[in-house]
Amino acid sequence: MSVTYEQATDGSGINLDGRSVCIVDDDNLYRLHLSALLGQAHLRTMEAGDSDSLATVLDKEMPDCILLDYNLESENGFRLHEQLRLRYKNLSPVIMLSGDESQRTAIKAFRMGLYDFLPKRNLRIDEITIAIKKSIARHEVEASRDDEVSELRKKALFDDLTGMYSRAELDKKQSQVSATALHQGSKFAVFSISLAEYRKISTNFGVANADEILRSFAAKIRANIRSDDFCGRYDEDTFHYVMDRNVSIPVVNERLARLNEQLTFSHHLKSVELRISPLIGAAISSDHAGLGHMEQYLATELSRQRQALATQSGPEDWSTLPAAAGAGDPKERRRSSRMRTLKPAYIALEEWSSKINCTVRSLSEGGARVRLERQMALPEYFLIKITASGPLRRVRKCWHVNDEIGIEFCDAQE
Amino acid sequence: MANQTMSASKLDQLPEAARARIEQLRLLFIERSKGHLVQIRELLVKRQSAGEVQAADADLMTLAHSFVGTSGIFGFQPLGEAAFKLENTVRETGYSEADFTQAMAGLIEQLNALD
Repeated sequence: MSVTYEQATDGSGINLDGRSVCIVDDDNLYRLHLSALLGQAHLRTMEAGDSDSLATVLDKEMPDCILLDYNLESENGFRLHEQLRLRYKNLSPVIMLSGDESQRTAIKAFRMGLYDFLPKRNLRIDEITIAIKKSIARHEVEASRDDEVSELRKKALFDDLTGMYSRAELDKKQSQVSATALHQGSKFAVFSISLAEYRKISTNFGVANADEILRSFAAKIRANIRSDDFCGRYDEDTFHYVMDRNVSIPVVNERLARLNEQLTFSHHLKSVELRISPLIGAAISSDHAGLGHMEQYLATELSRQRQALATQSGPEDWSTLPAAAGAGDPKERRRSSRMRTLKPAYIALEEWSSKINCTVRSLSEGGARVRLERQMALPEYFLIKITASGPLRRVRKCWHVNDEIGIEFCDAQE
Repeated sequence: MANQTMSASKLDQLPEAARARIEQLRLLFIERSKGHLVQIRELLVKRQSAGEVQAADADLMTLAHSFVGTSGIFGFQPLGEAAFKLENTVRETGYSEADFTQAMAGLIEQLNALD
């Protein structure tokens, strides 16, 4: 660690006037009091009592810092932090406040990427403000480095995620093709291809998983273009494919059909099956007054398709998978008959000792079908407790479709 | 109580409205703590019944943990310390009744001293 970095992140250069902090604690009185005290340090405060209200706050405005309680009423701070990191790319620095002072918890907090860990016992307001300053300073240094890396990436010839041409190179090549076509009186076509659900996948399953799918999507585009055509990454979830030889309406239509077919596929994230489909728009230069006009048309066309998709699927039902689809269908593999039930249960994640409420919809000796309260990513192995009096059983997730999962009891196999 | 979150002089420097707000919240905390004291007394009675010690101790530990987390920021550090001592005592397997009585007396003393 360089001296410069240490000096930059000690927080001494941070002025808290007008900065915002979100206090996440299930104790209303504690929140109000801490908010009043921080207000005197000229901090603007927001409050949340649980993950849902926190999401509402963050969707509206990302604060400069988040103070997160380790033990929320029915949620674990670590688990919540992990979810926040998956959902928000530009998450503010998070400081954990905890009544649990064990070294194990503190080490875990730092390993999980929390900016600071403050024991609540004997906590003074100046300790909190110093921690806020340091965290904001460190976050700003890191954000600045990320910006520099982004700038370097923009200048790169190839996009490092997909291996396709970068946006800058794509723009350059498109302009060259456009100029050549104008000069020679020939035609060229541009396809705008978007992975429609990239943002939703990122929100539900994390940026890393969304990027893995985007890589796979890009590889399929590359595999389905002609050898003398080229393509590049246009923005976060959209690619441009440029065809500048033998361009005609039948050729463009044939390629459209092929891309639509090849880019509709199932992707498995561990045992979750996601149905991927593209949004594709195509423009032929002879129908437009220049490249700018073509790009404008393509943007409008994709926007129209996005809206149509949103209308079809609704805001929450992002995946259009049927109730039991393909490899996810557990029917064939059941060893014993499954009884329909409506039993309350909860899932316990060992790593975070977190509880997730759910309902058991059918149950057999070997496994169960479980409905979650909302869509979320789950590990392959976890614990489940069916009804309050049932034992805590280790299970393996066999399939996962939207908010339903199929599990088998590990103890039933032994 | 001696250990205020902000020193008396700092509190005096605050605008009237802020001072009143902080004082109001502090009073609410005291009121809530008095309610918790009633619960503690009830749990101590429950604890006398056969087979109820474990359940009562779990509830006492939860209450103590809550005081550990909140007392400091409201300026009642000795209460937080007393609660911390009780929480640690009850958490230990096979703790002695003498240690429990002492830790509990310390917490009740701090709760009675709240004003």
